[in-house]
Amino acid sequence: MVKAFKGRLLQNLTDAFELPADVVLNLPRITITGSLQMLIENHQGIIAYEPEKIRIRTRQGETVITGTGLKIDSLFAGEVRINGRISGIEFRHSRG
Amino acid sequence: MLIRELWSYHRGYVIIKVKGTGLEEFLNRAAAKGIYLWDVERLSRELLIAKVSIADFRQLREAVRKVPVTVRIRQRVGLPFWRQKLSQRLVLLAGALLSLACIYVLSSIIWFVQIDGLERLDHDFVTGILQEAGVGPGAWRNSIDPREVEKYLLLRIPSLAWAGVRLRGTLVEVALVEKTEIPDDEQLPGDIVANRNALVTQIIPFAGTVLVKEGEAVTEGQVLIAGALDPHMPSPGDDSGRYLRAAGMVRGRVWYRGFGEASVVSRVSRRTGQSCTGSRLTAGRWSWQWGDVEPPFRQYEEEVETRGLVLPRFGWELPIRLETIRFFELVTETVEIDLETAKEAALRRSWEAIAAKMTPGAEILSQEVDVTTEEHSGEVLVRARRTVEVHEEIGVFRALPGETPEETWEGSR
Repeated sequence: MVKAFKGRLLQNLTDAFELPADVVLNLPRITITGSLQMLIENHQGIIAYEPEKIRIRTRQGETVITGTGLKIDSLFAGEVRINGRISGIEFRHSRG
Repeated sequence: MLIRELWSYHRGYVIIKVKGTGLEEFLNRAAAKGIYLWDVERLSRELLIAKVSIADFRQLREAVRKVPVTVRIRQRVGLPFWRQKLSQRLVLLAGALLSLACIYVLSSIIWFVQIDGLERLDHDFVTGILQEAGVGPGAWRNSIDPREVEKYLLLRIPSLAWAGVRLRGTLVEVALVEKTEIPDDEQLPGDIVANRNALVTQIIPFAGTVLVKEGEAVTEGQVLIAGALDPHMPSPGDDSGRYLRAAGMVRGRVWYRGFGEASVVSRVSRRTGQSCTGSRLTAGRWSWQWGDVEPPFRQYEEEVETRGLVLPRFGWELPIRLETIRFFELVTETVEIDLETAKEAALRRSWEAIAAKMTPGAEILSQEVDVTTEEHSGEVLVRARRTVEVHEEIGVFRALPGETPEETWEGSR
């Protein structure tokens, strides 16, 4: 209850001061180059990694990338770069 | 991405094979530890390949200790590994360095000298001069200054007009241009003299002192343009005066006389068709002869054919000769031609007599022909006298006696 309130407050503050949401809210910042490359900053780990489907944990839940020949080009704490033929991106929001 | 490849190659990395059930767990833990993984490829459910730098790999074992995976090195890539391998093979390293040093040393030595542009100069002579200048196979490249070598060549070989020296790797290219030399006998001092008796009409002097005037009659051998700077010098051989090579054109009128005669009746010898043959074989001091060796005719013509034996292989002539002698009987006949034909023949002969003396291509100013017919002991003779006045070059160069090319003093300098 408290956490949810804090989240809403931060959201409102961010909107009010036009602050970058990824910095303030620790939200993932996703950059997609065509359908070949995808850069996810502020991720919180890999849940599953298969050549057809990669699930990545983020602050707001889970980001699911589907495609073929998916490959983790590089993996850092907080940054993951994915190469391959990307066909779909899905955001699954956690209830929290 | 090329930059990343090069950088990681420089720093060294390993390709690892991760096997187990918690592959995602492995990735997350590694990432959480700040370990950089790249080119992560999942080959199957329980198998994953990734690349990790050497520095990170050491931390990797620590980081994934609790994860149910096994990490194996599949391949070591990069310079650090090469360095390590080489440090175990010092002889190989030394050999590589030695061969590099050899290439360096050998390529800083001159191997070849190429000389172009030789016409009259001798190749070996120029090679010798180049050796003196320190240019030759085996010389150090650095010790050669092309400009200095060019200067030296020009100093040592006076007949050079230009010299170019260029270093091209281990080759020295020497390009030479020889002076176009005036032949020695064209540099001798001397005079222009008349080569026949004439009346001077035109003098165009190029060098020297003109001694005659236009309209003057000159005799053969007379000096027309003197090479002496002071023409009143006591004697041409006197060293006190300088002599140069006189040059110029002198034209004059020259008269030629030609004479030709022809007889109306002419005697012609003709072969009768009778002939005989004799042979003589000579071997050293002995000789054999057969056939008609002595002529059986009162009037005859003789043809001798000599054949020697030569060994073609060695060019020796054996002292054996075979002579074949043929005699032809002759008969003299009197042929009469008409007067006009005889006149033409006389005129032609008189012209031929002049043409032999005249400069070819001389300009004919006038000519006179006088034809007479004479009765001479029963024979009729036609005589033609021809006088031709021509305008032609009469000056020729005559070198001073006793002059050698070294003592030449050229008027142009």
